[in-house]
Amino acid sequence: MTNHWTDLQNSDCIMIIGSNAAENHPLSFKWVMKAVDRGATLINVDPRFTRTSSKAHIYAPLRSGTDIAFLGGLMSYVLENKLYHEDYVKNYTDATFIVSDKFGFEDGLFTGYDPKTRKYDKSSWVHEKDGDGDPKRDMTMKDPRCVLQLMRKHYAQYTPEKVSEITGMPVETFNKVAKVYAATGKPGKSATIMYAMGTTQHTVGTQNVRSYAMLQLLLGNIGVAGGGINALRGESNVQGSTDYALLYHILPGYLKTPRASNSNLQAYLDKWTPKGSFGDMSANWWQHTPKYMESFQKAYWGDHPPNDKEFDYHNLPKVDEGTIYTHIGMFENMYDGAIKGFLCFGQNPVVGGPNALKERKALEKLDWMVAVDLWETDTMDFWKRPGVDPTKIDTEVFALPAAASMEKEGSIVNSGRWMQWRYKAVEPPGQARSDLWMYGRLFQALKQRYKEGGEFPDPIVNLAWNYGGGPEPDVHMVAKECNGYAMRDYKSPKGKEIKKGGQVPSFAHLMDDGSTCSGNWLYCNSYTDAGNMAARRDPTDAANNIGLYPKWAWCWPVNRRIIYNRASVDLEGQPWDKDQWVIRWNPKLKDGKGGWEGDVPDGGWAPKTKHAFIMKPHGHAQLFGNGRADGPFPTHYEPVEAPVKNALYKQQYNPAIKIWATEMNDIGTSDEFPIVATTYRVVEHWQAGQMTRNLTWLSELMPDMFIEMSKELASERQINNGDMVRIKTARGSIQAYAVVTSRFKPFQLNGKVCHQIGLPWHWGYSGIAIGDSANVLTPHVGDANTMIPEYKAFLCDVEKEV
Amino acid sequence: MAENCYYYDGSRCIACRSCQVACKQWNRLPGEKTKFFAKAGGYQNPVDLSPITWNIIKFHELNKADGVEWLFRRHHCFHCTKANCIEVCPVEPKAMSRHPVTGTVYVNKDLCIGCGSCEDACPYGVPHVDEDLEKSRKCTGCIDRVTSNLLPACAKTCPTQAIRYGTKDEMYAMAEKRVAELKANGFKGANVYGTKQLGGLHSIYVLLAPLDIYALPANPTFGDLEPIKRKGQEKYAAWQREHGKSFASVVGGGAVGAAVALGVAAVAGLNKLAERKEKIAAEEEEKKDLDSSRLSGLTRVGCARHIRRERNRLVSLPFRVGSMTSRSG
Amino acid sequence: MVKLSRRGFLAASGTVAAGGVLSRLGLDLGPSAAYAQEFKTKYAKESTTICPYCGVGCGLIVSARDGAVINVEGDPDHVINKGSLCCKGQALFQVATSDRRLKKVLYRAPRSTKWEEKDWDWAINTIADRIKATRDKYFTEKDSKGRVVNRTHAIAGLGGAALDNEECYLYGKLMRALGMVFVEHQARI
Repeated sequence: MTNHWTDLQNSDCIMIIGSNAAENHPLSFKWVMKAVDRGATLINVDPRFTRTSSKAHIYAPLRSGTDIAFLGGLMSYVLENKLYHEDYVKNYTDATFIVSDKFGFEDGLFTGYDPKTRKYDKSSWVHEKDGDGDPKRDMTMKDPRCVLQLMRKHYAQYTPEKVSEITGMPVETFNKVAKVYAATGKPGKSATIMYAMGTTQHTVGTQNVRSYAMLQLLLGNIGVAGGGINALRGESNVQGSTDYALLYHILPGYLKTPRASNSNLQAYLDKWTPKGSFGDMSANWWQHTPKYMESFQKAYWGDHPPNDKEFDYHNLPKVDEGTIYTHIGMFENMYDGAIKGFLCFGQNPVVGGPNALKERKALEKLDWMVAVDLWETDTMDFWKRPGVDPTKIDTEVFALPAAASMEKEGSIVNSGRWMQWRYKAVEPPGQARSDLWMYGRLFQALKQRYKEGGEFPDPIVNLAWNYGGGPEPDVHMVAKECNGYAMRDYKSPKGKEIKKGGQVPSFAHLMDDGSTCSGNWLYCNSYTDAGNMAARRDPTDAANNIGLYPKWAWCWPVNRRIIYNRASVDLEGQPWDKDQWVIRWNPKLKDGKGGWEGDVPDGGWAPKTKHAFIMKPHGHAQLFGNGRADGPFPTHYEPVEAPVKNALYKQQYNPAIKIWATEMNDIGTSDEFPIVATTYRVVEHWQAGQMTRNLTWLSELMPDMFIEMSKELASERQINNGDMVRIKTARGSIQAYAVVTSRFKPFQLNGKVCHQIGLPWHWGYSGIAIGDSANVLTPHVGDANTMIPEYKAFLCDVEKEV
Repeated sequence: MAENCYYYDGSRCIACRSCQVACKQWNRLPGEKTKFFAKAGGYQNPVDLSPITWNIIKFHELNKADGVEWLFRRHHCFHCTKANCIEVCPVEPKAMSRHPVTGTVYVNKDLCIGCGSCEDACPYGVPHVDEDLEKSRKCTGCIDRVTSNLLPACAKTCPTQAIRYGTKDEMYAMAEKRVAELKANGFKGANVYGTKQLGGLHSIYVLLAPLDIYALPANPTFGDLEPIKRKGQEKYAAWQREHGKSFASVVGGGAVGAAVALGVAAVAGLNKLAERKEKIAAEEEEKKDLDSSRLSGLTRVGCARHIRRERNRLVSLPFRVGSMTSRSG
Repeated sequence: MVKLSRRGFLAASGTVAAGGVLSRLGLDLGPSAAYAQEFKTKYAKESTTICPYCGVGCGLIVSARDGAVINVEGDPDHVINKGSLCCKGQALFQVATSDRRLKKVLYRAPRSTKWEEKDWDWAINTIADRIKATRDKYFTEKDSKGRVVNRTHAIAGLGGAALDNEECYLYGKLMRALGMVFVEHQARI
């Protein structure tokens, strides 16, 4: 979230799209309802009418997988009617930047596409540079090559009628949404977008999110109270686990994982440290990459001889540019036998992973698997799942009992980036232990073995592991290392003298010369000499009284509650919204030198001395997203399995996605599978079910797997509410009880009726509440940028079970 | 504090059913074995109230020309002012009791013989006899929490404050105000339920549609209670014969005494509330100065601060932003 | 009249004893028993925690007595949820007290049809042996182009969105030290 949960109350218009917040983030509704009480309009865009829709002023139905058509329509409406926030767009975004005349777009393809590799050569997707190497701008935004005009052209085809033809949303509903939402482009008005996996789990997932961000930038809704784009994260610490880089492509704090081609530290830093433009006007925050990388390496290997950063760099594994390491890639490699050992911590991929039959089969190819959980999960039980013979499965399985959240101490980070501390209430039951304890024991056992020899033992035997003497690492010592401390007495770039062992007060004090360590620069400021900031519980609000609660817990970065807040003020530093201001420049502060008040600003520099978007090398938010694999402007493509032809372009689906033409991963056509299917969650269960399908109170509420369908489809297929139904896709088939409901309606696509059904995906074969897994049906097909699976739109057929 | 009342606002409810689980948690009620969903139109489960389910959310799907509506309503004991269940309870003194201060109707388990008269007489199908325990069971009105000045479990947990709890006057007024607000915002069918029925219920609703949608009786009656009473008296007589003694002598009078004393104690407790609240407020102020600069949130032993906090909340139900501080105890 | 067969749910889940005892202790009936329960909560050890389900980050108070959780409810002081919870957070008590919790190290040998109970020393040592053997056999110091990569493709790590930050950090540290690059978790799906 750019903003945070309690900030939802400040919004004038809330659009919930690709999210069922009332069900999957119910407490968000405490704040959504508060905004509504204060007069906000609530819009819900969803293929089906949910508990969220039941509270919305406008419910706008949309066929799964057509968000960009809808958002493109909204952007076109804003651009054509000049409803954008002009000063904001002009000064804070790249709308004024001139794009290379080699850049173009035709019939669904941007320039530079190679159909053989399915990749783009992005060399034409660039801003033109002037003599100083800075982007060329046209401050009138009239140049046909400026980003704003290119956007207008790109989205001109996305008329309300076209939007309706693609999405199935009635034209009048679209117009109603467009009018209400675009009204927040007025300075002082705010709108927010709440989204979740309904947005991201598509082959165009990344571009879906970009389209939201672009609309918000046009309307000046980023950085302001009640604004932003807010990803509602589905797991209690999926924000923290991402910040801590449990993903192949990043190191903690979103540093890049070294590639094989980054042959030494200097090459790595040259590649990943961006050069700024516009001189001193751009903060270009990632220029500090060398400090963060060196402090990270210090946290891993400390002052161990030879105490050399190049040496430490070689301790880090380098990824191969040709291998796909993502979840889908991992299971494809496992299925192919390349992966022999598997560590699985609190995840249940045989229920939650796409193409579950394939992922279950892949586990059979392993030599060994270690699975850690609170429960005996479906994944642990894969060798005795229904329909298999355990005596033919060679995989050795270790099931380790883990401590629950109230049985250990530590911090987690919510969607709003708030890091909150949890305490231990009781001991875990039986032999259950915290994961921290397991890592401590495992590390000591491995270190012992590698001291005696083995392949490349250096990174293991030299790993800094200074967390007290006990078998369980002292969680406070770990948290202090994550923050970072001085390796020796030093003077920081801010001029502060810090003694050896002292906590680094914030990342502005980190060094690239080995004076500091920091396990995660983004968390530098979370555990300082003042103490554990995440444990704070003072609910006093800030001076702006908008619910920032700056002394409650801690949030990254540096306790900034609303990021990009330099865009919430005009060039003079005065807020667009005088009542619900986030920050403002007060010239009287600091003995007349002036200073910011309110939230922690995006850098303390005075107005007009820095461009607003400090993370960008040129200081401007990019409407022209030339870093993406599949194009700088989000473009409507159909899902890989779609019921209709792309109504806008010859290019049917995202041209830049990887096609997994592998075993057990067939793709279906609309002839055989005419019905659109989507998967989702319900409030009563959680994710792959291990945390809820083992509890009687929640199993009571939702005992059985079900499918939701319209009365029209049910009548065509002679299905009654409560019947057992079979759902088939090219990957497999499952059983479910039929919920026949008016909350699902067939879509009218250019006169053609298109049915859509819905499937919750929580069920599996282990637990109290058991049932077939919806992910048996989903394919190994992923987004072009992130390889997130296309769970949300695929084709199926449905019939009554005989 | 005078008579209390539950308030349920269907226009705020998101049917997350946290109230159902909160009820089970606080009252240690086991889960029920269910299958699929109890009724078309939503996700209702279990099928009805039972000896181990005292609160459920019902779902109603309305297919209208201008789109679908999904309506929700909670179902639990209305704690009627004119309560059939009390009237028909054959046990002397009555096992089905009314709390003298709050007006809450609850089963005194020490007195109940499980005859089922209350179950038979309730126009809303609320009490249910647990045949293993031979006791009638239903929503207690969280009388234990309320007399300790805690919100009932369901009201406390409700994310959107669709469920509230407060004095009857306050809740009745709030409902009228909310309906007026909803009507002004285009919800023409908004209405209040419960203020007129059976002498004014201690659980009222703000609803978005006419009562027939929710299968709620506008004039709940139960015809002639006499047959139920007679049956109950027969059962009570049989129970007495079986046990060879009167109820009072079985429990040695102690339980009856205790039940009466409870009411008295509760009144006394409430009378002391204002005094205690003042004291707590003073302590809070004192601590604020001591702790305001300290990092806190440490494990708190025995301070029951959330209980103190709620004492304040009960008298001021609409939540306030940043109104209280809390520190390590 | 409600048939008591509905009570059979816990029996089906194999925890009839616990459920039965709870209801038979009468904790759930009249006010007198309820007062006793209230008393218990009042003098219990209270710890604050954050809900382990979704990403809202609601605060809860866990009450424990004699090392056992006796009540879990929303933290009224918490600025986000102000004492409220959804049904999942409200059910956290059952996570703490469920008989279905995994309480032993379990091991399933190749081709075996059953779990065996093991102790931690055996488990840690055996797993360390497996990791080392696999890593050493499939370690790549230089790739086909001769570039130093110091990695293994043969061990994959999955999961972590339910872990604490400090756990994520050490898990990542350990995996990277081992040269693992197939490192993924829930954020990708």
